[in-house]
Amino acid sequence: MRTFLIKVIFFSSLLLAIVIGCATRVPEFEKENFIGSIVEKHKRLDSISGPRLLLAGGSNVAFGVNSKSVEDSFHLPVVNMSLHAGLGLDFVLGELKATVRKGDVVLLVPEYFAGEGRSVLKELAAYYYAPSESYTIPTFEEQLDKYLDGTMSRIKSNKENLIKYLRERARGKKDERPVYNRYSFNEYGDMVAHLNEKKLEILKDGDAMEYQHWDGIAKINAFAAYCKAKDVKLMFTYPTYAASCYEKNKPVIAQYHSDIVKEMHIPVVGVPADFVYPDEEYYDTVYHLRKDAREKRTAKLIALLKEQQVLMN
Amino acid sequence: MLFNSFGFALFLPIVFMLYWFIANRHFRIQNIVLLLASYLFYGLWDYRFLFLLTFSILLDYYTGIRIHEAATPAKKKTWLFISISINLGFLFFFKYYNFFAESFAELLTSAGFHPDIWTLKIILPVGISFYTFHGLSYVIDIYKDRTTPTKNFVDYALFVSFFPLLVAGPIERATHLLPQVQAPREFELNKAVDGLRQILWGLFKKIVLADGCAKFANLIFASSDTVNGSTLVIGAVLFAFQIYGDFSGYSDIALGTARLFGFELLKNFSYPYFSRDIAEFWRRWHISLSSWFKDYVYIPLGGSRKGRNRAIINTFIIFLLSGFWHGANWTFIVWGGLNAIYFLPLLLSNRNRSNMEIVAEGRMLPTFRELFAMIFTFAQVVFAWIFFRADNLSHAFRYISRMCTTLFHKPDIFPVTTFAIIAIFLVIEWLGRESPYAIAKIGIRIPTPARWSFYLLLILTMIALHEKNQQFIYFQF
Repeated sequence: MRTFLIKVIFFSSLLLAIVIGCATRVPEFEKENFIGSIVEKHKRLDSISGPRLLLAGGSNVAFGVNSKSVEDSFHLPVVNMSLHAGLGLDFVLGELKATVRKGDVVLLVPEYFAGEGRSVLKELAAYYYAPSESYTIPTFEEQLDKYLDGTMSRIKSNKENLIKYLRERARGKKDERPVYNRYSFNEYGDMVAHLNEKKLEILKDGDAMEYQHWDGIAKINAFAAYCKAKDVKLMFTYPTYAASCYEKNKPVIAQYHSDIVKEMHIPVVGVPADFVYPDEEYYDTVYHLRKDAREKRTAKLIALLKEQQVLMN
Repeated sequence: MLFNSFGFALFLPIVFMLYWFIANRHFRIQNIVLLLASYLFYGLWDYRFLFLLTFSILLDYYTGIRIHEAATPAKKKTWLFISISINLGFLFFFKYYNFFAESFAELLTSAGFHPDIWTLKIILPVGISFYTFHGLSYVIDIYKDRTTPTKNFVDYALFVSFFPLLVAGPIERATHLLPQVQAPREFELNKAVDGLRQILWGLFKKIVLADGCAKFANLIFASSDTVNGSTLVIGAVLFAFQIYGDFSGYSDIALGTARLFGFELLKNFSYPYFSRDIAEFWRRWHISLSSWFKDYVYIPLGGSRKGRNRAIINTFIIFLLSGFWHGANWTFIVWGGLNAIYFLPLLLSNRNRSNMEIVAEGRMLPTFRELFAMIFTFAQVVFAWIFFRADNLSHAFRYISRMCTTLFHKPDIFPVTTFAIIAIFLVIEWLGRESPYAIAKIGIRIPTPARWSFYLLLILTMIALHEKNQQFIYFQF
């Protein structure tokens, strides 16, 4: 037994040392991470002194709205704050809470059944933009997960970056900048690098949904009360979604919509079907619109917002 | 608690220490520790189902004694009937009620009626199919005088609920595991190290092979109406490796974990994708379930001893039951039926036991004939997996139809890394196919520094390729 324990302890220590070594964050590797664009988004937020129109949600908004058109239509500076659905609804609401001020208008566009998000992405956001650490209060489990998932993710990221670095050294030239990059956004915070890219053969995130009552409704209602107290206008609308998946998940989405209409205490702009486009109009996931449909969606959104008249006062 | 979770990485060493250091004065105290640990392990899924598990244990413990003590064969039979009825009643209710209710409603609707059938929101208790079968084998073995009932409740409860096998098998037999529970266990260094090595290999199969394949298999099955035929073939092949890595990986972890506590569980997989015909495949795939059906259904029905027609019927019965055991969906039943159809020609031509030994035993490479036979068998198995994986029968038929009509188009995706992993995995499995699990002999043949480097490489590959929150497929059964 003694020999066994000594062997196990020695092997575990060796493993731990290697894991810690491999998981060390290499700043050089992290310079252009997609999540890093949170810094530029907050710079724009801070640079506008008057009321703003804030677009918040996951990557469906980052990839699929032309903020300039919205700004031109309503004569209100637009900031597209959206980044990644994996940051979770709590993060989005926490970020808004720390950001909104009197006179702002917020349009929330979370992905269907947006959940709590992944702690590793939140940790990454905090690495670039320290104030974001306070957007959510992690539970003990999330804290633990942050270290475990974070360690594993850093090893993965270091591995990929090391391969890229070696490839670039061998070729003697830099790789083309990938779409998922910190500098793929325009001044409004819209992702633009993908607009002219071809559709990938298979769109990701197209799994069948399972209905469950969405706890996001209660969270958004709580945030609505906060907005009311601060004289901030809050609205909700639906994400864009590829037609094939919309058809597949129609009954679940109908129930989701019905719950929202019944229970949400803020104006709801449009219905899910308003933002459904053929699969060919998407880039890599069922939420990421390409150029033409992005314009259509923006036009639809502007028309629906005009109908709401919230922005016309 | 998942085997591939941080929680289990904490749980296992704690139970190990308690078992060998605190409770080592007597094996009965060790049994209590293992029983409590098993209840904790199971209760962390859903504590409410502990009552069901306990009821099932009490039922079979009590009826086992009553069967043994019954004065007449009729009384024995009555107690056996009570036990089987209640066990299968629970299994039916939790697993199949909605299936039958919905199928009945569909039948009536197609006949022009408009029935108002009640379906219930039933949560399937994890592992119910496995522990029900443990209990059934126990009472049937007592009835058949293959074993005697234990009077020690803890021993019996541990036999049913031993945490490594509680939620996804292997399906143990009282004649095999119970005597181990009832005897003292000695710590053996080689056995414990071997257990850890098997756990490592199981985790590698699950995290690297199964989860790596799952990512693309799920994508392709979800997009099966839009991608071309060659992509669908890739999807089916990837699912074949996903389910193998997932389930055999789980079994390896279970066997390795049990070995850490001094127990030997039944082997559940034996390199099934190197089978040369479908009969051999079924001797190597989910062995504990196949042998359960053989011993408790096929042979009591007469097996192949009562003529050709009866053998055909019995074969269909066990394959259909095996499909139905997996879940309340017609896809599983068709999957079982298809395997029966594959099996029948072998049975009828008395060739179902022609490949009993390990393929290319003692040789490095198979002959062309063996290679062709393995590829043909694998193709049959992959085709049947399409039904197993599809959401419903209509999905499966659409999948196959599209696969056939656009087969020779260029694949929409070809996951090179995943196929490279599959290739490396197959080489390791081929080299280790004469051992209980593929890397078992590494402990004997390779010097320590190289061996440890290999283990570290496996672990780092797992970390670098892991996908978060991946369940084991067989937990749903």
